Amino acid sequence: MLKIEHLTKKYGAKVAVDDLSLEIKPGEIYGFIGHNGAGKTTTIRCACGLLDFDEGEITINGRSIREDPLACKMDFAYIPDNPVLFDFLSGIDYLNFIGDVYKVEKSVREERIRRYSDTFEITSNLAQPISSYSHGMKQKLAIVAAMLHEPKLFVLDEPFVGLDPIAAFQFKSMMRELCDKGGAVFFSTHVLDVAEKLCDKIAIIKNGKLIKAGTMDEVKGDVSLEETFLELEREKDA
Amino acid sequence: MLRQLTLINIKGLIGRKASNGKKKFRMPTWLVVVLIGVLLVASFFTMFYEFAKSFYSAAMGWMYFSILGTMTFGFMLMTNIAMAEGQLFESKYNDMLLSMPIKSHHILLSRLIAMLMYDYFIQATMLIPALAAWIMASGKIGAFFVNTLVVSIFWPLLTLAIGAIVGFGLYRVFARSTHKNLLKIIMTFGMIGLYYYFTFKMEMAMAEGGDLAPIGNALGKLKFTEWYGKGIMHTNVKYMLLIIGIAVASIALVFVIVNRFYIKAITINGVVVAKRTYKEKPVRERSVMAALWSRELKRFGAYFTYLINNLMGIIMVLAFAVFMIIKGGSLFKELVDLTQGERELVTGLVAGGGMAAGCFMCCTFGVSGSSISLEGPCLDHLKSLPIRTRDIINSKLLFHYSLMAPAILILSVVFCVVCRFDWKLAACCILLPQAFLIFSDMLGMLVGLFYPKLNWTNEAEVVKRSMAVMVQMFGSMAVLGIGIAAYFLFAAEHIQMDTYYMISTAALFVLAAILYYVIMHFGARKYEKLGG
Repeated sequence: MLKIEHLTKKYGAKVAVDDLSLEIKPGEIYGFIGHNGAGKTTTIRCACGLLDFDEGEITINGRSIREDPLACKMDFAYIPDNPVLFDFLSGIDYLNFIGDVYKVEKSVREERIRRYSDTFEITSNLAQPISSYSHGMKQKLAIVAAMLHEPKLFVLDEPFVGLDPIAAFQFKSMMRELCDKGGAVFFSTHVLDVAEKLCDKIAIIKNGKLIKAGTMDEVKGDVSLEETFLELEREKDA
Repeated sequence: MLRQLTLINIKGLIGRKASNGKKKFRMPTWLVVVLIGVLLVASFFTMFYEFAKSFYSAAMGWMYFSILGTMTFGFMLMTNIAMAEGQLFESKYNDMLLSMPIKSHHILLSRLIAMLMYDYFIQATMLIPALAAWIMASGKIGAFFVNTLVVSIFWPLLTLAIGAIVGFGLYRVFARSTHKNLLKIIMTFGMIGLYYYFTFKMEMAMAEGGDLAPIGNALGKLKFTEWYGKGIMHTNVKYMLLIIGIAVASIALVFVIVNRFYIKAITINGVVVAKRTYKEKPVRERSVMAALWSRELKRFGAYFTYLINNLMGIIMVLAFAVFMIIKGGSLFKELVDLTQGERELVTGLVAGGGMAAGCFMCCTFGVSGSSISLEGPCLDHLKSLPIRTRDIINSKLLFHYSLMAPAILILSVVFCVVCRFDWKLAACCILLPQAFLIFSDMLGMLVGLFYPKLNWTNEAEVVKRSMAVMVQMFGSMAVLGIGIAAYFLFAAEHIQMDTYYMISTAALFVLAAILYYVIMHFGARKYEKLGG
């Protein structure tokens, strides 16, 4: 579904991502963890076509993000860590805009807006301008917008920040459901407990380099993910 | 702490940010302020000099200074009312500041002082040319000079006091309204209308043989401005002390009142925001271009500074069209009579004048110049969507054109009908301003793509101060000026006016086409690299 091969991204002399390779297959919830400034967001932004990269290749369903960005973007939904949406639109105007961009037909759009807005309990706020939303409400609206065209791949940067427990639970359920139907989710997070319970596979990045990747059992073994992560961080420092 | 807070507020008003480390040319703040000040002083000087000559010759200097006092009062008051909401109450730093060991009256006082500094700047842009004009008209520097400086130290305190209280009231009203921008537009146009009405009446009174008595009577009814004028001109200490005393007492009283409710006022914003009720409506599917255009329109209506800056141009064009409908015929006839029946010459010149006016208004229309920059915070989100770059750019170009084109077309058609142009001149009169509008549109977009200002926090930084908008405005004016100058300097003796207009129209379309090519090839690539 999403294949990152030998990705290298530099900001001047600083190497933000160094020869990183990952593959997210259909049916997988793939977690991506690392310390602040490790290169998680840079990797995700490169994967979504927001950042050009220096070396490597990124393909989504076999199509290169560089050569065919439009077709790739139709296949996935991206939710950043701090969803800066179009603040000047109301919630419903924003959803309709997204629906038009992704060519979601009228017949299904209304039903999906109703269903997902009710699930995340933002229906009553849809007439309000997004500028009046709290962070959590913006996050929910971004999730509803992402679900509108029912993509097969979700790329998320810290998706649970600002979500209340109910919304977080519902979103996790949706992620699981999507993957059970053959979709995939690639997300970064600092919340290791969530990653441990939710993810099928995990990748740990430090200072731009991938230090461990694989299934949850392969990566953490018998200890907790938190202990594994801390141990790996200490090993590399040593 | 008060000094630091005040300095932060002043920097916030000027809108300067710390450098992001990229090596770019950056004009020093003091230079920007000086340039703006010089421009304003120069533009006011001409008007004040005409007033000064009339009032000096009529030995009614106090009226001149009363007018100065009224104008400075009006401008500062308008600015204070417009600023009070955002500067005093709606700051996004309220929560952060209140969570720190900072006294609330220090927060309020620092913001009021920052606004006062702004008032002094505005006052100076009128005071300097007014004093210079009076010195030139009277030929001497008298006691009025010192009196003006003394009174001007305290004069802004009064406008600040009124502005703060009115601003607070408006802040509470706007918070409860779902049509905040509409109310602000009505208020803004009301104030601008008053200003133009006042200056129009002044100029009419002076044009009608210099009978200044009605002006004196009107000013006499405004006690404050009468005291201002007479206090300065006649060194009337009683009047000056009255002004100073009332100004100081007003600001002190307002400070005490606002401070009493300040913490509550700046922390209840979220609670009293007006709520719109959501009602499910049938969805209308739109094409991507239509969705993008609609998004541009929503943004236009949501950002007040963006809206008012550009709406002003459209309204001025329409107002000019209405003026031509009412007065155009008679003015045209007077011009023909003045030139002793040279109808063809007058027709050509009037057509040129009408086209130049339309083109000039296009220069002040900065939608495309600010369009890319306004994406700033949400650029990443826009780029993450499956939308072609050319569609995004085209939608912005189309939006700019579609807003202004109807007004320009109406003005052109009015000119054609009122002045009875033949088909050649009518075609030029309609097509040339449209071509100019398209050219200006392209120019703004091109500069906006290569020199965007993406890290703004207030849309005024982009709409009023960005390089793209400045280049769009002055670049377009330069092209207009060159076109006019070229005719009178080189072409007038060789070709007919309507032929020159046709050539200019064609040249503008070609120029626009070239700019469009550059935008679509190089500008689009630049856009794709933005935000990285």
